[in-house]
Amino acid sequence: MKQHLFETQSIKLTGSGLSPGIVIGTAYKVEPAIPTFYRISIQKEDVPRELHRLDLAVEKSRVQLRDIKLRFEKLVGKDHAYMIDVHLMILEDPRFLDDIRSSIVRVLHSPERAVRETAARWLALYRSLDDPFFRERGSELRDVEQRLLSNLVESNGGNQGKLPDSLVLIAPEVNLSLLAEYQLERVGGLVLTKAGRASHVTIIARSYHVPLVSGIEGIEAVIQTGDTVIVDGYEGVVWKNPASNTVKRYQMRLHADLGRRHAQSMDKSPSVTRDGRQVELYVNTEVEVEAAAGIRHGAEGIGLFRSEFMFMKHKARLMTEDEQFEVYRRLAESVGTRPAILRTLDIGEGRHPVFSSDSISEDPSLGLRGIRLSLKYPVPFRSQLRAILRASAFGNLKIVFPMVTSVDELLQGRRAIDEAKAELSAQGVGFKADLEIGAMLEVPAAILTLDAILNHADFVAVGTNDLIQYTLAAGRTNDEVDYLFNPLHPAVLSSLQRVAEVGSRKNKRVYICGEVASNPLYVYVLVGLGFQHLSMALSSIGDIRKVIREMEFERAVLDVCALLELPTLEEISRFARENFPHPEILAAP
Amino acid sequence: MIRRVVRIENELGLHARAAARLVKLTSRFEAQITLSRVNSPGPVDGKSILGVMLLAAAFGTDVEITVDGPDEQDAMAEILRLVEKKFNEGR
Repeated sequence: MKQHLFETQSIKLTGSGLSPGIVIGTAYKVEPAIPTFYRISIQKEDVPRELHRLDLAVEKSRVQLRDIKLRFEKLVGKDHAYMIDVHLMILEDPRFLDDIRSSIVRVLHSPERAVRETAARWLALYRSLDDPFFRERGSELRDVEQRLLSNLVESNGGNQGKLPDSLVLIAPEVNLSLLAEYQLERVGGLVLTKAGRASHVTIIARSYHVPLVSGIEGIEAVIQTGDTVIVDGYEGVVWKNPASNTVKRYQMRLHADLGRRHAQSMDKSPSVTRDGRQVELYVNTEVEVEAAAGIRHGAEGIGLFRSEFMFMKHKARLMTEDEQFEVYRRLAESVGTRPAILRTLDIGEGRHPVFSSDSISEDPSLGLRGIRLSLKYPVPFRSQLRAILRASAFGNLKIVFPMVTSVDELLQGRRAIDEAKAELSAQGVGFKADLEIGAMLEVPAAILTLDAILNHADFVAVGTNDLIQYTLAAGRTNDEVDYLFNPLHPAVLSSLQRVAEVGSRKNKRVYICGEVASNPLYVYVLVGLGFQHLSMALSSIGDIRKVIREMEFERAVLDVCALLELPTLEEISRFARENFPHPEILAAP
Repeated sequence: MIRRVVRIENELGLHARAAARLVKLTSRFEAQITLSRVNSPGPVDGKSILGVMLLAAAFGTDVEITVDGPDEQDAMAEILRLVEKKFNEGR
């Protein structure tokens, strides 16, 4: 049991690289049930102070537990309060405390990490028991561990103090709300088991230049908080406790990387094909600060602002209208006359405590999400619309409704905007009267009824990730059907062709927002289909501009026409490989 | 040092409440107290509740108790009495 503490063997793990880049950092295991802490290792001179912090946390936990015991005894009688006694005894267990102290004193772990790892070792022993009745006693230890950790983290003034430079989050999977809890600027890399090429976490990792490697089974058992790790998002490789020559090699690559990225960000030439077709590039983002950065990189505006991300940051409650207004106003001011398309809340019911009811279905992707959810919860919907309208006085904001499935929903959304406008007018509050309203095209139903939708929408935006998912009935994070999740599937191509055709006939602008717009090969197809407004992660703007400047529009149109004739994925892939620029993308795993 | 083997005869075995009672008792003594059972990896510290519960000694398990220290006689006597009284659980 002890050897584990001192293990420093170098291990190479291979998965798939979903977000490029390299980071050399400190591992941090994400465990939703455990209070977040960032202090991992301590200095030798801090040992007495850290031991004292541990003692204080133990004492505080003891006081809390005694208090709980008293209240419990009153409630259920002395006889049943014995479980609290068990907790108190675990808290004072000499073996448990000795192990914690020794890892603080001997290996300079922070008390948080020492508690975490000591508890984890005991828990592993409990899990190995055959008798379920005794195995379950591990849950008592978990309770005590959580109490102790909370008290430790609190005594540390939240999470102040010396933090590791680059945290690498380790987890089987992370969702948007979990990621929002960690301050993103502290996250240098991600190592996950379950993330797909089009998962939200991948999209976000790419737009923040955070290297991400996924697909490593049981990662949380191999890497522990505090391990030194290298994440190589290009090769899909993770090193645990790398040897010094490996570290040196990666430091050199890291340096070259930074130089290349800097050179790219300086290039602001217009995105026009060699034969003169202009293609405007926009940024997908969820943080208003990226608007200014995007424009600096030559973007035409914000093609998609994902408003749900900031809602997830305030998990316990709903953001107020004024709080939202401040964010939207900053967004509006940074784009000025350029467009910024604000998508109203796109979360599934149950993903935020405010949007929860008793009848939540297992799979929100086929239930209440997007505009369906907003229409069911009119009060938060109205406050979001009011906040956007108020901010529209400061810049060219547009509203887009997610997950539109019928013209009715679009009309109801428009009505809600009209009501909010009337309220604001009555209160003498200014807004952009001719603010444009659009619909996201993500559901095949919306594409089948596109003519009617465009009679009531000022523009449309295609959310390609969801469109592919709903068209092909293939989940984004399901490895088994990953092969189906293909933007070049004939059904997807045919849908996109229809969108381009109807959009142009109705003379309405079509934005393409989705991972495909960040991929050189798919961009060639999109431009060939006739799309001129592509929205992508900030980090892709440089690469995609280069792709567009190197391509010929006329040839892309012909190639795409030929592609549309092919009935099988196999023929399509072969044709693309043989005829398109950037076929290397297809070869990627 | 004294060593004795006892059979756990209360219905639930050395579960949380019984373990708590045992540890409360053993903690009063200076002597080192360890418990082990047949076919179980290594002895556990009789003053550690995590250790005692990990022993997973269900009804009918034979447990070997080792007590070593100045007050070992008293300690062993008290422990045996507690086991005999089925950890005061009355069933």
